[in-house]
Amino acid sequence: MASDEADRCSAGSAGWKSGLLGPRDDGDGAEAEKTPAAGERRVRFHHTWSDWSGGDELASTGRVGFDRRTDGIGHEAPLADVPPLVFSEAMRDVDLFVGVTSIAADPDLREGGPERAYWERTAFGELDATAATRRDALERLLPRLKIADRCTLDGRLLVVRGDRGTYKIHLLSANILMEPDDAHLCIVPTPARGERYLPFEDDRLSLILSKAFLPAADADITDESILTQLGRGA
Amino acid sequence: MATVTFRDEAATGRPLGEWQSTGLPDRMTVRALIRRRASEQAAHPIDWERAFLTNGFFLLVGDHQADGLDEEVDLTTTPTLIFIKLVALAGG
Repeated sequence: MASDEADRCSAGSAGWKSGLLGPRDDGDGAEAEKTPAAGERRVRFHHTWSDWSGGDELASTGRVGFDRRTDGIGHEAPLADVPPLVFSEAMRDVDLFVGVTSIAADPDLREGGPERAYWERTAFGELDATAATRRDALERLLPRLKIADRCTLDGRLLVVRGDRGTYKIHLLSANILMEPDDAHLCIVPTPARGERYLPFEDDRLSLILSKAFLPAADADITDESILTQLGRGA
Repeated sequence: MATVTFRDEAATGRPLGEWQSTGLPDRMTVRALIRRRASEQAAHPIDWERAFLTNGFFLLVGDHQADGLDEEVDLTTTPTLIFIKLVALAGG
């Protein structure tokens, strides 16, 4: 289950398009679509408006489908026919989307009901071991980094002190919240630039680490979208 | 003459690959080491330098992260260099 705001943030920025969900006639189900560069393929990611939970609207995610367009018409393609690159990019996006938006990653969820049961199951089950593994890796690595004296590990959070503010990176979702009001700082991986410098294990720990470097040097940020968000959060 | 081991690691510390380069001077700058590394992969050294400067990856030299391209590394005491790739990010 995902919060609607974070949902739009991460789906929109990776080249996905989707109708908005909501409690109205046509708002209870939608498919986010992405059309990779050549335009021949289309990826669909189903998600459903789920419920209200306190003041938050919740959505759930569903199946991923791959279409092939012939003569302007999309037909669902067998998985075996999907080019590896299209499949790989789509699944990476979906993984990121689910990981970043899931309410399981919200340490402050206070609502009851079925969402609460889902949250307790996912947030305190096997994922706790995941967070512990990432924390261990960061404890080994951080003291060797230039940003060491800006970083503190606090439970499931990596706290990074920048010049403009303090940021909390969640060890499960890699979400960044800004102090003091926990405004969400939306930063996403940019599409591959076609340059392959190094082998790369695309795990969320790399994302967490990369995100730690960015706000640690927040005085040097030139990305307009990030600056706008920092202005809003300050 | 020094022998250096270039090792690629994931952020988790898992080794992803390594190889050695022999017959190097005892002291080299980070810039020269990155260029050596790039040339062994038939890659453009300027791309690698740019990636280093923009947090495309970072380099662990012994117990610390390489500070800049002009930092000198004593390869007789620090014969292993660890490269860890980072993710390019933008505001969403």
